[in-house]
Amino acid sequence: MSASSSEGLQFVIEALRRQGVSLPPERRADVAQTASKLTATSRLLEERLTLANDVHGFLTALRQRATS
Amino acid sequence: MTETDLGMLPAYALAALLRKGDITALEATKAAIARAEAANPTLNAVVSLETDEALAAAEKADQARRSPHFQGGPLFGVPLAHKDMFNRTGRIASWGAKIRATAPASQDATVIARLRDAGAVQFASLNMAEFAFGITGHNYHIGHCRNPHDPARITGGSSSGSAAAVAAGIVPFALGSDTGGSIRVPASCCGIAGIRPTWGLISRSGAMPLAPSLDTIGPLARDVADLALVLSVLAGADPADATAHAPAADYRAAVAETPEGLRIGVDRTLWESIDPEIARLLDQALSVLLDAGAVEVSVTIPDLLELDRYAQLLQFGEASAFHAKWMRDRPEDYSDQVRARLQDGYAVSAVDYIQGLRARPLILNDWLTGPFDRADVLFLPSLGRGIPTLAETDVGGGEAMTKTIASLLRFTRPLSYLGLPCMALPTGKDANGMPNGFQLLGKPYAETTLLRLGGAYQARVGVPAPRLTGPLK
Repeated sequence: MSASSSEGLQFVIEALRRQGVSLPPERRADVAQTASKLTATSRLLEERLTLANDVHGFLTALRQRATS
Repeated sequence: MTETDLGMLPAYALAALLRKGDITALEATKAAIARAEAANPTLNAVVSLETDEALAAAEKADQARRSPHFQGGPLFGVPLAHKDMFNRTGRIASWGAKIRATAPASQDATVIARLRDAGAVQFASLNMAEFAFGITGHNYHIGHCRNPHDPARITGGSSSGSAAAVAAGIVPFALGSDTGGSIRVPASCCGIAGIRPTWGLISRSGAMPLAPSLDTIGPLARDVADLALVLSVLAGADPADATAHAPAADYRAAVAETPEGLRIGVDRTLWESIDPEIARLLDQALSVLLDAGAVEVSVTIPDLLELDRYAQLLQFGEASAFHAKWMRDRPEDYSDQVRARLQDGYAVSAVDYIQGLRARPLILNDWLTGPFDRADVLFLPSLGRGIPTLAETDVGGGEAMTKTIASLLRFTRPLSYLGLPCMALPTGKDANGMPNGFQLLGKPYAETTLLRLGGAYQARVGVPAPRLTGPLK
């Protein structure tokens, strides 16, 4: 398991523990891989984001580009 | 007319006969119930029949028609059934699950109310994947749904019962929902049409959520004109859903408009990674659209694998949040597959999730200034592979099963992140006699453009005939 997968696994185990959800040992590798993959995706997106990018901006963007 | 003949009719034509009084709503409803009873032992598409209530509603409609003030809505007297995920007053929807609401709904979902106001009579509820969180049509709680073209093969999901019931002629159209492909995949697996509208075009109020940032409600139908009819009834603002928006559009007129000159963007490099036989069917379908007057333009589609991960950032976290209490208190009441998908959601931190939301307008703009800069619509595969069997995608299939299931989503879930309207239309059949499908992706609120192409395509290839089925021998 790579360092990032290991960090991902620790994060997920802690998140699940706090939520009171159990994760069987045989699923740990899969979930850690998901954590690692999606965190990398988030970091990639982060490179393009500025303070102007609002959480609720998507609906506005859709309506501004409306075509009928 | 026999019950089978009535099952051949699209909703708009059936409603016209009902409004004129050529047939009664009672006759139409009895015939639909008979078709459901005949097909269901094979398909398991219907989870509950509401015979007494539906016949009473049909009789009431017939009485109203005899009134001198009768006008009749666009779906007057049409017997319908929908994915069992919508609130209906006094009822508890199954959600395809063992876990259900603890109390009956106090009011109808907006879509159900609008269909009823248009005159529709609901006579049944339809099978679906557990909590709409499955792409194959398997359901370990209420039984797997089966494909009318070959009951050994999947219907696709999560709107499995909707696709099977429409393809089998039980109903002319049915409502489904689409978060990552749940209208488009089953429509393509069952050889019918379906439309995922622009995110926010149709109110989701009173519908079971999966991942609200991606969830849409839309129709599956044999006839493209019925897709347009349903959009005309359902689209528009709703005080109960702040995302619902009402652009002025004549969906029904669009179906008859020529697609002459519309630019269809195609990225042929996508063809390199799909089954050659399916590529041939896609080429045939595209040539029909070009014969109708559309123009092919070459475009470059951005990386769909990356786009799919953006969609996962939203879908996984939102789904797991909605299920957090039950995952804590009743984890054993989920199927193994859905529980595993929900566990994945805990892998998404709040920061990662919010970056996924914040980046959405940027990625939308990439597409609108990228492939859409040269094209009015984009042409993509729905599946890119043949329809697998239920056994190939069942539990115990190991790594191969996991890959097969992932392959079913590879062209649909990425597009959901964009929130754009997307219509699935059927191709010809493969060597196994199975249908397949393609997607037409439009610009924001450009459903009319998709319907122009859909109408022209259907005018050339015909409306799919119902696949009538009886009990398994």
